[in-house]
This record gives sequence, structure tokens and C-alpha cells, in this order.
Amino acid sequence: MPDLSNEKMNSEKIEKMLESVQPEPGNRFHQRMTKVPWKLADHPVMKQKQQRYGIAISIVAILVIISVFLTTPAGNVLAQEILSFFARSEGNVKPVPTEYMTEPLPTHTPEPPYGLALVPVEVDDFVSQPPILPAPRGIHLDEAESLVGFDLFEPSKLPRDYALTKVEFDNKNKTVRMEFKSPQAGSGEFFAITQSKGLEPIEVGASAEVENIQIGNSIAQFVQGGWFTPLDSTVATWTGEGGPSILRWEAEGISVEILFMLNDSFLPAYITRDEMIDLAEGLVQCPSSNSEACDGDQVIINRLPVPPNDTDWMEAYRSVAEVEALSEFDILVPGLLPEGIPFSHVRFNANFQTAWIESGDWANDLTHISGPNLRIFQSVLTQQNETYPENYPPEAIEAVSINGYAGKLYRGSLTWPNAATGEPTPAPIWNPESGIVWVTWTTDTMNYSIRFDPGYMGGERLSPQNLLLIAESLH
Amino acid sequence: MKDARLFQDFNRWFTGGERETPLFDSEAFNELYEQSYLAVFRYIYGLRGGPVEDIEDLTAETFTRAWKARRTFVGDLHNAATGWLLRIARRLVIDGYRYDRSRIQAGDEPPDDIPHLGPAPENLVLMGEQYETLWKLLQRLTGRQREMLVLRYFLDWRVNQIGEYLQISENTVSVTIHRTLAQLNREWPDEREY
Repeated sequence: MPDLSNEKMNSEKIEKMLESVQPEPGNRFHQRMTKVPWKLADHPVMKQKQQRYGIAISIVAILVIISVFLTTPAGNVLAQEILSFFARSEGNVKPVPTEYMTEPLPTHTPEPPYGLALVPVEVDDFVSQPPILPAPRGIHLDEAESLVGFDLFEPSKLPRDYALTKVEFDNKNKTVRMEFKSPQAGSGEFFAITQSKGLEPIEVGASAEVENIQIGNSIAQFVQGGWFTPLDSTVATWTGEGGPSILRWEAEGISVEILFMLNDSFLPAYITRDEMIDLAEGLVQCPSSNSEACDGDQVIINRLPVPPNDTDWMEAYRSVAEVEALSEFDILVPGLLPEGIPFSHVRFNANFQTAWIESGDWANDLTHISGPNLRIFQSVLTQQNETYPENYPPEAIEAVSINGYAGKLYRGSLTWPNAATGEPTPAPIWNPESGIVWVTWTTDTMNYSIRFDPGYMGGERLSPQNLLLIAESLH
Repeated sequence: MKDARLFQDFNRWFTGGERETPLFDSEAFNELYEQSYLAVFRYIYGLRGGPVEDIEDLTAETFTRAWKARRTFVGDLHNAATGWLLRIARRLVIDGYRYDRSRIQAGDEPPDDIPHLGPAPENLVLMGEQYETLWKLLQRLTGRQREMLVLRYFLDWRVNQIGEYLQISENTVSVTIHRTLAQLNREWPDEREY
């Protein structure tokens, strides 16, 4: 470095300073560059030509086999036997390794109860901000490609608002895993695309249904189900109900897996089996000379069409005004809410013309809540949608009037003890101290109910009088 | 038309046609990497600034893209390849990097708008107050002025090499560098301003 202290600056000295700036990358860079493909790959020409003859012959053979598999029923059965993306277990029950056994849940002490005051709320308050997915974590896709040594398949068609949230490289198994999430889906819900030169087969139960599906020129296998271990149990049992949905196949010598995980909330799968297949068919390697799905080495992402919602799924909305545009009835909002329990979102089902206005501290996924919750239920009156809770003892029920309509007020909650094997379900136990309170009433055309729940062991309490004031403030 | 292209690509792949490109072998590419990674790193350092980690990421990204596009490279490994790498680096700098996957291809014409120079990298700050002043003054220069200084002094390129890379005359390079140094000298704060 030139000594420039106490000297007047001139062009020559500036030149010397510029020449002395000789930065070098650090150890992190050098370590990283030991794993790049040009330091790992071996490209002798003759060896490559021999390999190519072998590959070309293999491609022809594979094409013949695939065409047999796809065109004949016997071939299809044979395909299921031969293509072993999944390993069938001997039974549907297996012991759980001790390191995976569940720790007992910690015990909690109930918080001391205290009453909540009411605060006025305006119509404008019934809007909340949509969540924003964080920037992707992990490594960059190009870095993952360098580490794994091949061009990754990336989705050119994504369902709804799913976006890439994480890229991971598993050095031990030489696999890259790309995780995608939707800001609207439950926090435990995601799908992941895993790629490798050879994925280990996944063990499935003896009764697992393995379905063969054609993805491009490959036969993929689809399984839904998982191994479930009840709390404190030492065995895991396979069930085809719930659990992850897994689609596996091979393309361009790369094993590809799409796994969709459903979380433990009440919501059904946010992407369907057909969407998974469309997603799989839209996977591309870029840059690709014959793909219109690429812009250079970047994949052009389109959205899959949203399938019609014909289930009893309650879609979440961030504002009451949004739901009003879809509903065939006026959505009423309260003029009062308990302090500290603001509006969060509305769940709505168009088939049943039913809406729940949810208040409280809900997580971004809108399926998990911490602390107290107030739910205002409104539904077009039909024969089927009686909403009165049953099995409450007479001392838990009180007749009330809401703006001239007869209603019922319920205090406390019911719990059902576990039934012994072969025994009938025992009668529910009423807990008057749970802090849960709700009121239900009907008008000429609508069913309404409002339910306050302090949450697990929570100390917040809403008095029956205040609950009735909220009910009467609906407008 | 697409079928014909597909057949040509297959034929080229099958007969090892891409072997004709000088960078196809990993050995040749590795040689290029070893001889030019420092130049690429310093070029990005001077064009972009910012945290050293980001500069390292961009350097790695430059070589990753070059490896993918190696079949498109034509020319002399010793003279043309470094310029080819710097063009990839230049476009990466312009396009932004982190998690914003660039839309560039190795064969595209480089855009001209070099972004503003970021904050001084950590090691330059450690070199002392005068270097911080130098960096602040570099931030005031145009992208083209800065690029010429970086090539001339950080990479130690000769004027004719710079002219060839930027596709301008040697005279223009000499005059621009001379005037830029004079500008830095004029704008250099005198002692009482420290």
C-alpha cells in the first residue's frame, strides 16, 4: 500500500492507490469452488462416445418397454412390479425406532381468569393485510445445479399462488430439494420437488395403493398415505387416509419426486392430485433448445387453472367486503368486539352460503390461533344447518332475546372421554370453567351464532352480558 | 422445423460435435477458471462494490453460467475467453443477483447501464481513510469511466486490451483515463476537509 500520509494528492498518487487495490476472494469462495462441475466432471472423448452408443441403445429399449407398459393391461401390471419407486412393506404396522418416539407433552397451568371489556369497531376495521411469503431461503438454484451436477427440472406451471421458498442440497444423498408454499395454505402445507441421479425407494404399507400415471414419456407412480404413530405408541401404522401424496418418476436419467404434505388443520388438500400431475408435466430443464417454457435459462412460470370449489371447504378471505360480493345474503358485522381480539379474516363457502367472521391473533396461515378467539357464524336458514350445540346439560343453557329474536346462551364446553375398544362412546362431560360461551339465534331467513373461546388454558373471559351486546350490535 | 432442429441437436450430441468448442472439456474450462477467477472477482469488485460475500457469489455465478454456456464460446482461450467471462459478469452486475434469476444468456449483447457503485467492500475500509475517500469519489464517476479504471488498474490491463474489450479506440481509452484521474484529483478533498 503506498504511503500517502501528509502528501498533497495528485493523479500519480491516485494511480498508485488504484493499483494497490488488489482484493482477493476469501476461503469461503475457494471452498465453494472445489465442488463445481468442471472440477468433478470427466469428459474423455472416446469414453463419452462409447457411453453415448450405450445411452442411445438404452433409450430405444426403454421406449419399446414404455410403449408395452402403456398400451397393454398386462404391461401396466408388469410396470408396477418392475418400477420400484416405492418399497412395499410386509405389513401395515412396523416398530418405531426409539429416537423417533414422541416426548410427553409438557403440562400447563391455567392462567387466572379476567373479564374482557368491549370496544367499538367500524365497518372499515373488517379488513386485514394479506401475508407476504419471505424471500427464498437456502442456496440459489444455480448453485444447487452446480452441486448436484445436472440441470434441475423446474416447474413452468405452478398452482395458484405457490412460490419457491427454499432450496436445499443434501450432500450425503446428492439430492436437491425445492420447497414451495402458498401464503394462503396452512403453515404445515407445502409441496417439494426432490431430484437426484437415484432416489432411494420409499417404504409404503403392504396395503398401499400404487397408481401408475403417465408423465410425458415416463411412467410415474403415485401413492397417498403415510405411517402414523399415536402418542406414546411404539408402532407406526400405515394408512392411506391423509398423510403426504407422493409422485415419483424418472426423466433424462434423473429421479424426480413431488411430495405434497397436508398439514393437520381441518382444511382438505390445497392442491389436488390432478394439479400435482399438471405440475409434474410442466417440469422443464432450462436452457432447453426445444422448450417454449424457457426464457434463456429461466423458466417462464404460468399458473395452473384454479379448480372449482365444490367441497365443504371454507375459503379464507381478508375482508368482509370481498365475501359480500360472493354471498347471497348481507354479511353482518359487529359494532363491538372484545378488547385485544380484532378482526382477522372471513371463511366462506358459496355452496352452503355460510360465513364465519374470525377475530383473534391468527397466524398468517389463518389456520392456527394463539389466545382467545371470537367466531361469528352466519348462514342462510335451511333444514340441514341447525347449529345448536347438543348434549349440554339444562343448567348450561339459558333462554335469551337478541333484538327481539329468541335465542339460547350456552356456557362451558363438552369433552368426550376416549371409548374403550368395543365399548359404546361414553357420554360427554360438561366443563363449566372452560370460559367458552356462545349464543345462537335464528331470524326468518338466517342462522346466527357467536362463540367465544379463551383458547387453551387462557385466562380471558367474556361475560354472557357482553356476548349478548356483541350479538345485538350486528349490523 | 422443430423436428429438424431436434435431429441436428441429437446428431451433434451423438457424434460429439460439441467437442469442437474449446471449452467443452472440464480440463480446459478449469484452466480458464484458474487463470481468470481473480480478474473476474476484481472486475465485479470495482464495478459493483458492496459486501465481499456478494462479490464472491457473483464471481461463482459468472463461472456457473459460463460452464452452462461453454458450448457457445468460440475464439482463442488465452485472449478472448477472459473478455467473454467479463461480459457475463458485467451483465450479472447490471441485472442484479440475489434470488432474482437473471434473464440473460451468454450470447446476448451486454447492456451499457452499469449501476451505481455500492458501498466500499470491507477490506477496502480496512485499508484506511484515504481509500474510503477514493471509493466515495469512484462512486461519482460514470459507469464507463469506472470500468476503464477497474480494467486498467485493478486488472492491470493494457490500453489496447481495454479498447478491444470495450470496442473503442485506444486513444479514447487513454484520454478518458487521463481525464478521469484529473477529475478525481480535482475533487479530492484537501486536508482540512477530513
